Amino acid sequence: MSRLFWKFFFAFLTALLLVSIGLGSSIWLNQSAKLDAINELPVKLGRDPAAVVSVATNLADYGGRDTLKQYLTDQVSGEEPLVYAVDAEGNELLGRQTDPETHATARELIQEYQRIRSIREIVLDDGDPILLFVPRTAENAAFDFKGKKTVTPPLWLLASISLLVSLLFSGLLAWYFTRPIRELRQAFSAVAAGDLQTRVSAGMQSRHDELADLGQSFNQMTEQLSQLVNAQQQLLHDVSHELRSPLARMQAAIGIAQQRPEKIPESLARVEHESVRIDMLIGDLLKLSRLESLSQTQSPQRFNLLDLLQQVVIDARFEAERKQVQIDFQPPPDSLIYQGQPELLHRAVENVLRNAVSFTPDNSTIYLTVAQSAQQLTITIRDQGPGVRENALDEIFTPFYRGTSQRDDSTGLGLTIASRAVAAHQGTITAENHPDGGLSVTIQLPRNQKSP
Amino acid sequence: MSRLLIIDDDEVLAGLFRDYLSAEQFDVTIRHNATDGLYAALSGDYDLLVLDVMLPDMPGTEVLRQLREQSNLPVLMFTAKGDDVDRILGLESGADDYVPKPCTPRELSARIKAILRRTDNHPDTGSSATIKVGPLEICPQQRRAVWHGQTLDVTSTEFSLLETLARHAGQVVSKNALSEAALGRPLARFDRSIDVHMSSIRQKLGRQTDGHTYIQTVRGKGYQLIK
Repeated sequence: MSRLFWKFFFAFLTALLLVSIGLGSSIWLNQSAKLDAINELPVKLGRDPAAVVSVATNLADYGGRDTLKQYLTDQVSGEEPLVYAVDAEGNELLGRQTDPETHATARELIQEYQRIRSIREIVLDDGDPILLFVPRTAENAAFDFKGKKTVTPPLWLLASISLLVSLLFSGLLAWYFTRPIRELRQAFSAVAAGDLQTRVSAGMQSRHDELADLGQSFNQMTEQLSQLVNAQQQLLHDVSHELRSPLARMQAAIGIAQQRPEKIPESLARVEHESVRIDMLIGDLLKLSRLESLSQTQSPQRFNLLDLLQQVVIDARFEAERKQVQIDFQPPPDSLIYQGQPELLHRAVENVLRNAVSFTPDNSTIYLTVAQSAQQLTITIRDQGPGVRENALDEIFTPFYRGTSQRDDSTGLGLTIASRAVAAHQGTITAENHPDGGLSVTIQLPRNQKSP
Repeated sequence: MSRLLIIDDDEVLAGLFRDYLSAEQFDVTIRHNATDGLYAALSGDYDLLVLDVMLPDMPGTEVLRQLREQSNLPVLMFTAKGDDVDRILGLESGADDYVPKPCTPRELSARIKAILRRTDNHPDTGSSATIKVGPLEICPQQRRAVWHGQTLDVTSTEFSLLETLARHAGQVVSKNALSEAALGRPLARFDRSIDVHMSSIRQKLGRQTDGHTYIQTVRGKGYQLIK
């Protein structure tokens, strides 16, 4: 059992015991106060007075005034409580001294408690009303009211029952609160040990309290963590695979050079080419990882998106000229002020444009257009290349996606970099096959970004 | 001159290998995807297939599985280095051996030669007389195994393993000796190739009436064909 369990347990136990002691004693005090009040009355109440009053009543009914008188007389020498019989004028049958106030109180009690048996008002056969009661006198002192005659269990039994019940309830309550916490703790240690598939049980979520919320947050956390880790692992797997192919070529080229020295220049050229490729791949990988940190650390700035686009187009034209490819870009007259991270957006547009340049056929044209509305900016880049299979249009943004064509000048990360850069601006990047042929990539950037 | 078929989608690499292997007196043909490759492999024009495990249209293991339904052409598989799953899957689908990629062309050439040496007539490995062990008959000349009177469908590597075990029937043959005999190379550390081939052979032989397998594993030592 955890320490928390015992803390809860003892807290509940103490509380329960205090409450039961408090309740018990207050009930007891209240009860004895009532008893005291009853015993303060000028007439005696209870079983013994009720018994003798009832005997007196029966005798009076049966034998009338004389029999009653006889009974009262006989009583004086006995050990029973003494019944007094008072007529309407306040005279006691045996002539004993009584207080008229006592009579009044006795009558009030009869009025108040219809079923009272310790005091009776009867009518004798001669029509005289008689009040029968046991007054509080010295002779009757022994017959105090002791409360209802019930079987009161001994104090030790009561105490141990209440202790047992308290223990049970404290245990249950402590268990109820600590069980989810213990489960969470186990789940946390499992995650710490590397098991990202850990989820807290559904039973915990049926609680509908803060602990259930905590469990739900925990599940979300592990879900995201495992997605993140899986993505990283996949990337690592892909990267090692991608690095392998230039390495394999280099090894093959070296093998040929060893086999036939006359092939050394050719092999060296191949080795150089492949090493450049490895360098490119590593460069792109670093860009990709820098992108994540950049988007988190740099605060956005205001800049003219048109200037940025023009710069990218100038850079790309240099590359495009080798294929005699035209880049058609008609900038709108107004400047496009945008708040964001120019470095990231530069990379996004550059990578999409370079992708277009390498896929578009020689002597063709690439169209770059930009449009703005109140909510967003839209940049579209369209080439005249072969396009992409319809079901692969989303896949081209995943790392190392390769279409059917083999391209030596690509690292397979360009469009991934673009999509991450756009995502950092809460924008979207989509690809579609243009009805007139070629691939059309659209970047949409919201004007008012929610702060992440 | 042995005729090789290479199925690999990396055109540059395949070209380089062809360059190297041609100088080693091989006649090399290249296919860049699984469909064309499988078609060529089934033509019967080749002595050995070098198959890449990653192909654009179909996994290499699937190509191998389809090939094995019709042909026992020796297959050398390119696998990614460190990827044990690929390697085991490849061997289980019936590859004769594997080469981790990237590899030097010299290593590739050595592996190819090792497999071909076994496949070609090899008068140096013992007598060519038929060996009989219980229901098993081995005809070294034709490289044919007969099991309960029926020709057993085994790959070249599996045949070599069976032959070695049959020649030493009743004795324990170490894994290393098996590797030398069937794969033409000593067993590397953590190399499970022999075990995978053995499990495949066992499956083909089935079980004895008492539930025992015909080939028994002697833990830590090797395998033994029950006499």
